[in-house]
Amino acid sequence: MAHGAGRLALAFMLAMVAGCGSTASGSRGDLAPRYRTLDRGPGALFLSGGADDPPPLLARFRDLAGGRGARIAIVPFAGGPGAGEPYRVAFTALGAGEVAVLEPDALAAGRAAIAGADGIYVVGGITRILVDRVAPFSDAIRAAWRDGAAVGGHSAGAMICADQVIVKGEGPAALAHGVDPSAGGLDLRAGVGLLPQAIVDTHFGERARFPRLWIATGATNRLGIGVDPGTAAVCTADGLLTAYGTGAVTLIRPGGAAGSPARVSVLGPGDRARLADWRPQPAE
Amino acid sequence: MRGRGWAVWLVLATGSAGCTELPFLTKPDDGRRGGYRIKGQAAGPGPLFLAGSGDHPPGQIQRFRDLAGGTGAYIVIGPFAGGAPAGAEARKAFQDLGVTRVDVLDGQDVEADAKLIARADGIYLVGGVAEIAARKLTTYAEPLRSAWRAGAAIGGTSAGAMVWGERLIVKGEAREAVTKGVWAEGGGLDVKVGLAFMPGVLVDPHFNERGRFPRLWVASGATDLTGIGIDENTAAVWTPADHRLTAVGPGTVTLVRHDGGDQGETARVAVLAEGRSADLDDWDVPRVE
Repeated sequence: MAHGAGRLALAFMLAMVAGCGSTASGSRGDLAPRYRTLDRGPGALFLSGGADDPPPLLARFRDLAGGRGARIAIVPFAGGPGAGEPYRVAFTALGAGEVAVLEPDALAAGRAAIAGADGIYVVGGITRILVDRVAPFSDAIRAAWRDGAAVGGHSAGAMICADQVIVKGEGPAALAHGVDPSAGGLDLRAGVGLLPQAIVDTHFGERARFPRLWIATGATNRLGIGVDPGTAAVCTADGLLTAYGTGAVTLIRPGGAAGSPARVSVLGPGDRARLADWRPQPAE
Repeated sequence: MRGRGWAVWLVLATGSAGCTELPFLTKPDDGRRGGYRIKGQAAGPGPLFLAGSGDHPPGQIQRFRDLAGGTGAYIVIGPFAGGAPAGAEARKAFQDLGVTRVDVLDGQDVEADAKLIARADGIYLVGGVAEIAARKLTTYAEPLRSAWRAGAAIGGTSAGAMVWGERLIVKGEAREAVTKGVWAEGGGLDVKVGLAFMPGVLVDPHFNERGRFPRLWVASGATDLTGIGIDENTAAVWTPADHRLTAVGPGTVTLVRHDGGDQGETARVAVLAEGRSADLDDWDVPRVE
């Protein structure tokens, strides 16, 4: 029963990716990732609530990428010079294999590193800048993910994995003006699109973001995933979302018509929800 | 000279009161106490004014002053949760808004306090420690209830708002809620019994500011009550006559209701911004006649 639902969610995710028109890259030669296999399906998505990930959460990402020896590509495009270095050090200390820190201007080298990675980790920063700078790499990230690479990040790095990204506006602006950047409301942009029909928000409990995600999901009829700091929502190919860390993951399913009640779930550490209908399942 | 100064001052205060009048309320013309009434409704239990933060922002308590009848209302302040200094602070806040008759309850002499409560148009509780407030108020429940049923407006801020629900959370935040649930002995949330003037609900102030959505979600589910989360500088106003809950202020009022069934562990949630209201019949909150 649960297996069938997982397959359904998987098929849904695959259909969305196919819709993006990306194609898997051809021969990778020496860059072939160590831990990906073509029959594994899409890799895991690791959405962390920021700000900096504590080592246990980074170890979780390393494991999703294949464990020790996994090749990690770090995408620090919004954090300023040197923003990727702490993550290179941290993943190396956690026993990752080759760790590449990408640069926004080195497009070809970056795409090659993404194609050869078992895990692609996007460092947070200013969301609007990150969306713009990651865009030229998006199809490479989608292709690698579809081949089984784990993709994730914290803060803005988690937000851009979804298909819509809040790049500007907080709760009061959202409540007063809705999704309307010209009027001072929320500004939404297209993300990498690994998570179909969803919006991810981070620093969730800490920055009073429930109202803004509630408005954004209602206006776009998308599912909202709010992640607290120190916490990660992990979506896997079996169609489940699992909460890890110390805080909560809040799931908002809009009610349809504007202003109508939404359905909301709160997942604590270890709790899971099915991606297809967002119904929580008891923690194991 | 002094008298003329007063007169000018009162006119100004009344003028500003007109600007913030709540649209669904009207001034009483029957001479009965309790101030404003729901349009077209006879007297019954007065409105409940539940504010989300501990201090007394003038905009907010001005709304309560108007619910109690304006500058001419007699307001008593219950310092149960925050002690005497907090009571004096609240009295000054009301006096600054032109209310001349304000008393702070003693908190010890129940008999004397009951006499003041019986005459009050508005009863306002300051914030502080919720558990202390709930415990002290049990000896005041009867005089408070009869004044409220006669039409007096009841209000409170922070802990002073939490006590009016059927249950209140006295300990634990979001982290404890999602890891341990409602389980005081095991380090989870501690939920105690409230005065239940507003039955069927659990009130949580400082709501989005303190990231309390998870704790209200957990607590309202475990107690099978409707959760009302109130942001700082914001109030939820319940008018028993039409059984609506209205948000006033720059923040939001959040309603959470677990309705079980095949939806499993999900809850229905609505967020009300300034001026928006919800019909509490839709949220499984029992009416009070």
